[in-house]
Amino acid sequence: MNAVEFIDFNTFYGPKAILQNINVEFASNSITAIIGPSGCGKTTLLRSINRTAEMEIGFKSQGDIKVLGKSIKEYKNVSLLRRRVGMVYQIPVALPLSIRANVLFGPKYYGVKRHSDLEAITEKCLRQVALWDEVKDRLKRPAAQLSGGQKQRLAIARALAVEPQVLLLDEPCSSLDPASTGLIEELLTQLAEGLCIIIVTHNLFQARRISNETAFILDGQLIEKAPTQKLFESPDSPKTRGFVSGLFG
Amino acid sequence: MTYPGTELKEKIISSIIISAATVSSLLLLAMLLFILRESWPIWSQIGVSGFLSGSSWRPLNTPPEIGILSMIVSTVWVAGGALLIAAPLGFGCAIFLAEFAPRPLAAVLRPVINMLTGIPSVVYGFLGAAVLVKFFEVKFDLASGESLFAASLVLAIMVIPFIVANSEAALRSVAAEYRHAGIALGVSRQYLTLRILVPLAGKGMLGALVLAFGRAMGETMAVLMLAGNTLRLPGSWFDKGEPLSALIALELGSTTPGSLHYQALFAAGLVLVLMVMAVNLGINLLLNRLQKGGTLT
Amino acid sequence: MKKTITDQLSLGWFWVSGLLILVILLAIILYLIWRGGPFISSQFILDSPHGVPLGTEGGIFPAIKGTLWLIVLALVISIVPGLLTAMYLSEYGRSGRLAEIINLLVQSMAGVPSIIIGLFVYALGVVTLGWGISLLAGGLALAIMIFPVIVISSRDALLAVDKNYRLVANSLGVSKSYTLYRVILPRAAAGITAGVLLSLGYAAGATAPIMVTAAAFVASSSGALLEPVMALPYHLYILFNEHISLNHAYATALVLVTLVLFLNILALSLSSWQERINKQ
Repeated sequence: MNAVEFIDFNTFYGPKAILQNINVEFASNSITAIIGPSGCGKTTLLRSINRTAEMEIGFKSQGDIKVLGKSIKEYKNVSLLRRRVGMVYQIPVALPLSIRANVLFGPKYYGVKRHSDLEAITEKCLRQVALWDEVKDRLKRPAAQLSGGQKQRLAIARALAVEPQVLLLDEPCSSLDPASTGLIEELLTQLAEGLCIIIVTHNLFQARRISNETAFILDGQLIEKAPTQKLFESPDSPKTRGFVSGLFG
Repeated sequence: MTYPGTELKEKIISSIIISAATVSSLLLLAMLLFILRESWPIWSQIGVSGFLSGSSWRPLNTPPEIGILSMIVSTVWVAGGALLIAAPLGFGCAIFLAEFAPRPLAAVLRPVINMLTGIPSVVYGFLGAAVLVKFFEVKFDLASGESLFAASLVLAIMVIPFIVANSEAALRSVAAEYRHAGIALGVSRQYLTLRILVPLAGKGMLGALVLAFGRAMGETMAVLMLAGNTLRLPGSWFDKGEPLSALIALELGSTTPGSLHYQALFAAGLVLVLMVMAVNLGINLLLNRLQKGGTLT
Repeated sequence: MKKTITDQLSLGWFWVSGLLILVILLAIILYLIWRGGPFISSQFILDSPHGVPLGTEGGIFPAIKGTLWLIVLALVISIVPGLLTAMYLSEYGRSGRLAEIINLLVQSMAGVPSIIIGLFVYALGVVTLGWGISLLAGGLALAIMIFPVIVISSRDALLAVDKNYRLVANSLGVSKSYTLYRVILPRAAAGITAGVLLSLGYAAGATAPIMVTAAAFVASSSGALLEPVMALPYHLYILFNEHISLNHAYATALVLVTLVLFLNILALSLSSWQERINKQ
């Protein structure tokens, strides 16, 4: 089953159309990269999925998105949708709490109370993002003390802690050094088991390295979506070829 | 996968917050309506123009004479006079802080200005009366040194901090623009400041002045202790007078609730608060219209 | 660079106005200390007014107590509605029409002269509800007076908290109140406290609203809600205005200014601490 499915989806900011007529599917157990020049609507597409785009003033949408087979408008409770669709932002954000409390921020809200459960979630999620060994002795210390790369992995752990089935990442590595970027790419590949990962990236090399499929967006339109190797090596559209060979850069 | 309670709980919390915010801010309207109600007989019996333009205040006479022209004039005169004194100093200090003050001095001056706003108005009034008025009496050989001027002088000190803080904010918000425009021209910094920076920040500085005017009109203790409290129409800045706020503070306690005198004080209060709100709202509208580009917040 | 006369004059104007303000504050404080300081003693602080006429001897203890009662009561009445309104404006209303209106109302309320608030509470509490001149009426008047101050300062403290925290919390699907309680409020606590202290200093010095609702020249200030209280600013006003004791007036003014400036300085240091937190 497709985890996320866009059906004739359009968005507007005021009178201005952003995304036009998007029809696309994102599969579970795989990583899809979204590439395209700045301002093409990549981020809007990502934020439409968990309905955070609509919090902007003047945002409107037409058409539908289905998450796990159910229309996002049918989720009575946005919080249920957002729990199923985790999101990681460009700037690594550590909530002003301890490392442990960052991971447990969602689970505690959703009613996990038992101490042993909380401990288990903390350890599991931090292990998933390869942060456990680095921080296990200072879980109660403020998360603000972590490095940028560590904060970004913490952000992923925090999103994983509410057990999402879809994980959205908006240029998660653009403010990180190459070593941290490598670490995150590696753990994303591992996380793809059992998750639908959609990552917006500016870095074409990154898209090539980690994604199973790649979608190219230009001026609010989906030009092409194909297995990554095919899209980069023999794209159908000349526009895609132009972009991946660096013409739009 | 449902979480019993969280959604309901959030609904309850948000409705509590919304109703608390709505109810408590409606208090302002309740206040105005209540004061209007208490003063209603004045408006219906004496009429708006009679009340505003009558220059004689003898509410206990038979028939009572109830007009607050002298107080309105005193209020405007005292507040306007205060601005006349405060504006050059306040603007000068704002420019000093924004552009010329050496860092350590600015670091001292800002908290000092902040503290000046903290000193209670009764203390200003007391010092003004005990020191300034005494000085006038000795120096100019007056029987009593209280006057609209003395009240203006002390009010000026009280509103300077507001003028400084708001004008400095306005100056800072345009400072970047002006640096781009002017720094390469090779003229002096004073010239640049006065010819480019101040005109750019002009609307914000005007706003600061008008806000200070509103504040000065509503001030009570300082004017009560300094203006001299006579009910005659003041003919000059150096006459005595009794601004609206002082009238209310002095006479309210001695009225019989429900009497014409009592109602007249509420009518005077309504006039005062409407004057102040008109000034504040007027400047807000003006600034919003002028600042669509948005330099002043 | 050529220096013209106008340049020199305007520079002089800027410096003089800046320094004059410094001098004025120093003069006020030093003068109060010089005139009032010698009369401040433990007896002055801890004794009730005595002598004939009353107030020429003894101290101002009931006035200190009364002022503290008044500001505590004002705080108790205004803090919850004030904070809730601030939370509405910063988290719930955001850009809606209602928030715009509430913002405007609060802003206007901040501009209402304090004597008008006194007038309103006099009619409502003292006369209509029959409280008489009382601590309760004074506390209510001061509460209305500081309400907009608390709303505006708390709202700004909340809005200054990093927007990204809200973004992250939103994407996890947690509620606004949970985010507010776990992250935003703790993060803004210092700034909110600073605003509250500032408003208390403002209330402690306010004279006009309590003069018509709560203050008496002689009272025990026991804390009984329906009794009149003594208050420092009103005591100062009467000592001076009725020519009772100029020396005691100076000493009372010094005590009042010390109390208010203490609250202000505390607030100032808390808010600069908050600024450092926000920069992290």
